[in-house]
Amino acid sequence: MKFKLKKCEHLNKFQLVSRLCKTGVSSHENKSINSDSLVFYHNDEKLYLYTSNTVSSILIFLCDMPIEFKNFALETKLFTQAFGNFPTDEVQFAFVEEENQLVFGNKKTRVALKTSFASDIEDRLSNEFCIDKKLEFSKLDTKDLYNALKFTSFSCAPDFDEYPYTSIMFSIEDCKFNAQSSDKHRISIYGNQDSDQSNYWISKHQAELLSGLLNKDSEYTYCISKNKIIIKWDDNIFVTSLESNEYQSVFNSFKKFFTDSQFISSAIIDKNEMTKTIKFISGISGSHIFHIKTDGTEMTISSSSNDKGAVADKITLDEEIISFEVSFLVSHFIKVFEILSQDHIKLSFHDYNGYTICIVQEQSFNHIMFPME
Amino acid sequence: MSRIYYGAKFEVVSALKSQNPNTNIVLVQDSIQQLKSYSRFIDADKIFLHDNPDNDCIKAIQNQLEKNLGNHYLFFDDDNFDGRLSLIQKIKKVNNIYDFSYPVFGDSNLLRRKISNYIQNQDYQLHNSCFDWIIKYCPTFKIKSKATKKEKICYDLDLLFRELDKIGSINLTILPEHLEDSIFSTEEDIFIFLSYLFEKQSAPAFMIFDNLISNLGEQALLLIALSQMLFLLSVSNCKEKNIYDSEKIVKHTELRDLLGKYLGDDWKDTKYTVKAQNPIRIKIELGKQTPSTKSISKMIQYTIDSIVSTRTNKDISLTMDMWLNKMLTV
Repeated sequence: MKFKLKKCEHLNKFQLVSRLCKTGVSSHENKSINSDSLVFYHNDEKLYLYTSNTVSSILIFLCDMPIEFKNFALETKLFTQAFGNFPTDEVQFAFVEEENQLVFGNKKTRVALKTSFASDIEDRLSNEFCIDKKLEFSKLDTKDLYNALKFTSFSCAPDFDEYPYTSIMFSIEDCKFNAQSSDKHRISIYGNQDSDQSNYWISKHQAELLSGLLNKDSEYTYCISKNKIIIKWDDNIFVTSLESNEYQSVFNSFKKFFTDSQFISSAIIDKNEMTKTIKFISGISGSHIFHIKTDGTEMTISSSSNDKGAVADKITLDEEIISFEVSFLVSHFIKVFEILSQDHIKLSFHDYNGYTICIVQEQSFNHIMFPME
Repeated sequence: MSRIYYGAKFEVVSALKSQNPNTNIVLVQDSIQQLKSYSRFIDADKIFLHDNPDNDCIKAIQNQLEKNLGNHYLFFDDDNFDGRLSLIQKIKKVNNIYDFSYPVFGDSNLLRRKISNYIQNQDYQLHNSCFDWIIKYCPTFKIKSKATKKEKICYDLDLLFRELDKIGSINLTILPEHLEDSIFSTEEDIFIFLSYLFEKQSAPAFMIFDNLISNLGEQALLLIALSQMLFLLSVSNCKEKNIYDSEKIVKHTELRDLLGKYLGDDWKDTKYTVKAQNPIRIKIELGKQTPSTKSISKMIQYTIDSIVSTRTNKDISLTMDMWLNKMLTV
């Protein structure tokens, strides 16, 4: 079996597969296909790439292939590394079935990789992609899902933290996505917060993987079945497992920060100016916390540390605001500013149980940052 | 004020949940990380149950409590926690230590009481006739005391309650027949396995073979099989000689007709001890079909060869597979 591939056309597919493998949680030991295996799967005169990391699986169309061959698997990392670093754009492939080898290259350079027979691929595909079942797929609003993931994945807690703060909670209402996440020091809400639809949980890694494959030029359809979200586009399928559990009450309690807090004041600030100021003062002082002090139309941003000293900078506001003092984490402000598209951002300060919290809003996105001591 | 809980973790969490129905109970494995990510806005109404914290963690928890940051309770597997630590001393002073110890194997009254208390707070009922089944088949596990290094066998309440919850989720009243599917023991009976071998039932024999090896080990399995076959050889021999009187067979299997019959090399009476046989075991075996002495002898030969092979040959799994196949084809 022989075929040709152009690196520039297919490299993104292999990179996606490689990323999926890297986010794997465990491997299927003693099976023909492991979590780090990349399977070349032949079906209906087409050649596909298949890989799974036990949580997510992907089947990507590679090229037309009229010749039938035994499905084979090889190590993803090794293959993507060799293919990605290959010196020329056009690469010829040959699968030598008798020697269990995939040979690729050109007249000058040649790579031979050991392969194994992917015996249980058909069972895998029917189990993971529910191919045999009649599922109803709906059209996916790509931009909406991309925004839902973009506006919430950044505020998830790190992996080692407490569940469910390491995941994004989302629901679907009238084909629109609602999502929420929090690492307990900030809250991100995209879309409707009071949705009475079933909630699902997706981890930060899965969310990043999913948003990585969304492309505005393709048309996607999706379906949620047996706690899996199945996304189809062109001849490709992506499946990732979701969790549906009792934790929704944890995230549903977030609305109290909007309803029970008292508005203090708000300020419209220039995003670039504020970002530069925060980066400057935190860089000099070496502190991860900065301090905001308002007086009339002036907002003083300062930061200090015991070993490096203190820095202060002033931003002039267009309108007067009430005087108050509050401290926040530098990384929280920088990250949310990177996410927001507007040049001028309205920072709303609210009082919640004697603490000043900061709320940032942009269209369907609401973000709360809690103060530091 | 903090509290100390010790014993069955699942029972402790259930008790805390029933005492605080609107509070989230967070079981903390990594206390230091949890304390670092504590948020006074989101975590204030939660109870953190720290799972077997070490001394450094207990000191960090004490610091957090002194700053009035959250409700932190300590959980230990047993009552061997370090009483010298200031936080533990404070908890002891106000008597905030709660005992949820696992019932020791055999203490069926305590097990019954624990189950009754647990079921009271659940949405399902447990029929009275279930208690006998549970007492008989309740899963057990060994607890090793950190201080005395002594082991004790206790009823595994965590596993039992999880199983009851699972059954209770589909049955409002749990009956003994619902429990019968819950097999807590994975140990296989070697004598059932040997009976499969003698009856040449290859499929069930293959099914339990691996489990038996992992439970007993290769050599123990072969030695037990050898001992059973030697016993069967003598019973089968009696049957072939038409001896059906159980007393005579007992004498025959205890080798009383041979022991002491001859003088030793020094022309004196030999000293010997009779290995007593259980007459009931012989009566049971008389009622069964026994393979012929010829085939048992072959089996004994194969087993001895395999014992030798397991002690000399590196590929033990191959030896065992060959032994099983030979035994089934005698």
